[in-house]
Amino acid sequence: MRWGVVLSMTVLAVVLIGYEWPRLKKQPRKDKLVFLSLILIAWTLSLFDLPNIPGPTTMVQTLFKPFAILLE
Amino acid sequence: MLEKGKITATQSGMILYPIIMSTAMIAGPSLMMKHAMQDMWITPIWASCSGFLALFIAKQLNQRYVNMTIIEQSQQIAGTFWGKGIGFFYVLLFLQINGFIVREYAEFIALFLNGTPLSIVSSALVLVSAFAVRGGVEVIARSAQIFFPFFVVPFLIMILLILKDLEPQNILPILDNGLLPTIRAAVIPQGWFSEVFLLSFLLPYMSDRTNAKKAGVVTILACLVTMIVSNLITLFVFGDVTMTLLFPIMDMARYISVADFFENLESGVMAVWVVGAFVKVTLFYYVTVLGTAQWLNLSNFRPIVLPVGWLTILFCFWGIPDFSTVGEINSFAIPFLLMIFFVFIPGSLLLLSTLTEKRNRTKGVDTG
Repeated sequence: MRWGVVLSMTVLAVVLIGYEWPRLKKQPRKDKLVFLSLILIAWTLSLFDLPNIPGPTTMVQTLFKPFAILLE
Repeated sequence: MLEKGKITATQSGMILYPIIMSTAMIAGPSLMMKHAMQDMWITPIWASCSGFLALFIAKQLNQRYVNMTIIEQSQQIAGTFWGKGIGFFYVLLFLQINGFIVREYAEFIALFLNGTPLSIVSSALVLVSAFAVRGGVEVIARSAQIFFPFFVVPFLIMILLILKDLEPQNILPILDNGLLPTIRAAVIPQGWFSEVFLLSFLLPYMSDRTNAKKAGVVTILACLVTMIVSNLITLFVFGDVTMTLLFPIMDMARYISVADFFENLESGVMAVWVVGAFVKVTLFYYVTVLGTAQWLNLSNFRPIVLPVGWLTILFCFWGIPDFSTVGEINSFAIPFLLMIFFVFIPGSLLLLSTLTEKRNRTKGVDTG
């Protein structure tokens, strides 16, 4: 675990929530839930070493590999 | 409606032009030359067909389902369940493409700021875009309108300055290998042209929708001419070497030397490209945010702007370890992805809606 990353990402998450919350208070519950879950997803993803693990981009790459023959 | 701003058809054209051209001007000539060789100036003509097709589809869908974007239209056409499924993939695609554009931008800027970490470069761009996206479609349209001259005029000046170094004989022999290589080379640029389909997110907020078609056609033609000119110029300056250059237009700017005064203009190209990338990233960002809000039926899209921006930065690194992977995705995955999501799926939805409409009409005749 890289504690520096964990700490800075937590700070970022707290800052974002603190920035938006005053305006979000009046919004319906669903909006708050979506906002918080997006933050949670982003925070969780930030903890990984993303460039070196396969993601959606890798999936797309494998998916379209057969078409690459057209271009070779 | 989530978005209350109003834009004009001309503004939408000024948004779309940098979106298509910012990628095309940087990597376009060398990518097209890989297959078409000295005939690469013909390639944009084939590629623009997908742009016209995407424009036609977006306009037709908008006429049938007024005031709706593709996220809502797909739910109307394919039913809630399938529509939500399609919408999810659209939102994911926008997020992914935007992350990829940010990555390309960061890699390009890193040529100049080679000590700065990529994450800082990309975060800075996403943060600036976030402010524009929070302002809504009107702010995006107006910033695009203000930046438009800064994007176009430097390119014209550059052509004037390089005029004396051109070697037009590089174009010969014309069509040495027949037309087929030029069509094959069009696979990559057709993806850029198909981005015109993003008009689907601008049409509902247009105050003069009757001019939309004209503005779209003019935009595509302008992009077509610019692309042909930039291809020809790079060909005239570099000849066959264009293929090996990573960013030919920038090398061309470096090549300019007039009266020992106009030199090292590549930083100018970078400045122009930052403007183009800003407009492009902002629109894709806006589309991601608006799409997510419409997909989840939120009451306001503004609160999710910053979290989506965070995700965009993550997507710009996820699964892309180095620059060679960026190039690979750019030439093998993105063109097909864009073709499927901006031409094929909307085209099928349009077909589906025409067929169901016809069926309903015949039913109406039977019963009535």
